[in-house]
Amino acid sequence: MGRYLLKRLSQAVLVVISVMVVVFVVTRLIGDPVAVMLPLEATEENRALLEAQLGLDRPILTQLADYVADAVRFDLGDSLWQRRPAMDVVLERLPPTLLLVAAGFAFGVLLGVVIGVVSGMRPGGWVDRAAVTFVLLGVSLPQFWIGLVFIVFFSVGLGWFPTSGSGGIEYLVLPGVVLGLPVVGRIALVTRSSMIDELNTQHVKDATARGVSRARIVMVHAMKGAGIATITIAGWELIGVLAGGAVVVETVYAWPGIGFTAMQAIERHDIILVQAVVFVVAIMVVTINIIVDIAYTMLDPRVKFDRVS
Amino acid sequence: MIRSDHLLEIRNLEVVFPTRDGTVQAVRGVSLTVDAGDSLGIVGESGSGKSTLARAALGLIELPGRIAGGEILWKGRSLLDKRVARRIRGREISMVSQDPMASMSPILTIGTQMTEVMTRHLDIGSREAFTRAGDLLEKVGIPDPGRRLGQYPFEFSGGMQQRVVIATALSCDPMMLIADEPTTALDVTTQAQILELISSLQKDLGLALVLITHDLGVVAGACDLLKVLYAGEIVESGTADQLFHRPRHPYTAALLGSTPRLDVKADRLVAIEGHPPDLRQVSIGCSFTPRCPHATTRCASASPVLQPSEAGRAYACWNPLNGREGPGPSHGEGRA
Repeated sequence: MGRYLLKRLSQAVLVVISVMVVVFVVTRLIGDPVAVMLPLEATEENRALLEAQLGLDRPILTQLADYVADAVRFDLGDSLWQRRPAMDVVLERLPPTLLLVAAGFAFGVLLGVVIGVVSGMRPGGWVDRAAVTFVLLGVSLPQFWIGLVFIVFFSVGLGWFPTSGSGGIEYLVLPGVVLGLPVVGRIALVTRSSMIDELNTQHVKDATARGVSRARIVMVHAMKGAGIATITIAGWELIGVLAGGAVVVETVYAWPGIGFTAMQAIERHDIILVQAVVFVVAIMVVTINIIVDIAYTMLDPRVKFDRVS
Repeated sequence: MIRSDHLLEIRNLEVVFPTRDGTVQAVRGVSLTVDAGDSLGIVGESGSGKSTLARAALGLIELPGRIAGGEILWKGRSLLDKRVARRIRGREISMVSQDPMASMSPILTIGTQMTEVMTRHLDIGSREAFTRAGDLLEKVGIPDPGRRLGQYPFEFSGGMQQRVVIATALSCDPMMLIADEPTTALDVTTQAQILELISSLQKDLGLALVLITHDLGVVAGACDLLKVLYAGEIVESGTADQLFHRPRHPYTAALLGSTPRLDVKADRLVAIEGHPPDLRQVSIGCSFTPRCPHATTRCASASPVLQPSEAGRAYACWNPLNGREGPGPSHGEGRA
């Protein structure tokens, strides 16, 4: 286990560095930050001066090497927009994002597993058909659209929740639900189909014949088996929520997290801040992957066994 | 409560499975009885309805399958009543199925899966159940039971795993054990050991045993009474001795003839010509007619019923064999 973890951790560091290199190259290809930062009437001299200040006049490989060397010390440079360390900006905006992601993900996984298990117990029944229809809507409708519809309906129309911003729990409900809806759908569909598979296995049939109760078969035998598939998808979903969904939902609801910050940074061509956001998200993504792998070994004894032998 | 003097009594059981291409009649009017301490062998090829019969006896026919007629009585109570079946399954009637590796969940320990049955049916806690599970493992010949209980099914060999399944089946002191092809997935030497184990446990515990198999060699040593199932019907029944030495139904004779023997020199394996009938089409006559070497026009037009003949045996045939010495394996060959 220890050796395995060490191997995974070193792979994770490589992944993060690779992501940084890609982002570094891409952000330098898509636009000229100096042009955005200076007023329209700026002269060539002004440009050259600012480039020199920002170190953008050096050879690109030198910039990259310095950049990576600083990044491993968690120094990503000063935000061009806020004129202070980009890492500070990101870490300041991280807690609201983590709160929103935790809420949306928990909502998505809990409701998804419940719907999946209930549907999978009686596939084709009316409960199953209604659940699948509901769930497919959540998966298919784009989040920004659902977000806007919810604002119109629940905030403007019914006045139950604030339209945007952050504060008490009431601010969390709409963005949390919108963030979690596609997760509900995909988790439910995967849980449902693996429940159907599990409940049709020989060992479930034989457990019934041995006299194990239906409740125990569903809650222990089938759900533990189905849990393996669900965990895999849940890991992916968490990554999707963190790296994708949060940006959209935070922007729609003006939620002061890193997703909203990333959008603002992109609009302002603040490449340093964009890189810092990507850096932090990349670290979280590889961490989630490692956690999912460890969760497997806890759920499925065969995985541990294979690794030893 | 219907009157029945037997432990298990099946009366005219009909099990059907509706499919897109018609209704499969898997079990067609089977009647049989099992008493305490009996060892009954049910023999038939794949698709003869033998496993369906076993599952029906545990109230485990799943949709779309259904019991279209007849009665299954356990000590006079109908097992067609799901609540009765639920209480009796695993407690009074246990089952051992074909593939031991597929029979238990791969992600729960043996101990968990052995004890969950006991804590449900017996009035004992989990600690006591674990002790009992360890004793049971010892009884079925698994050394170091304490360590074994914490292991998973994939850490056992096929034969060892089947011992675990048998131990689990016996954990609540059942009165009857249904073993559905318990040795088919095992290699030959292990088969013999498992059969030996089942037989000795049956005698020690006074269990009623229903052994379902396609292999006459398996039932030869383990069962006193045999029923031969063909196309969902019992075509012949009697003691093992009677059926092995003097088969009356041509199908029984053909099954015996197709069992490879060590003591007779043969150039090639004998197979029964043709295929079992399509159970979606009801035949008017005897369903073995197309494959029967003794078939007459009467066989194709009228279905023979199971007729009792001499001492405890019965057969359903218009042209029974005259009881000459059968070509089958000698009694007891199934034991190694």
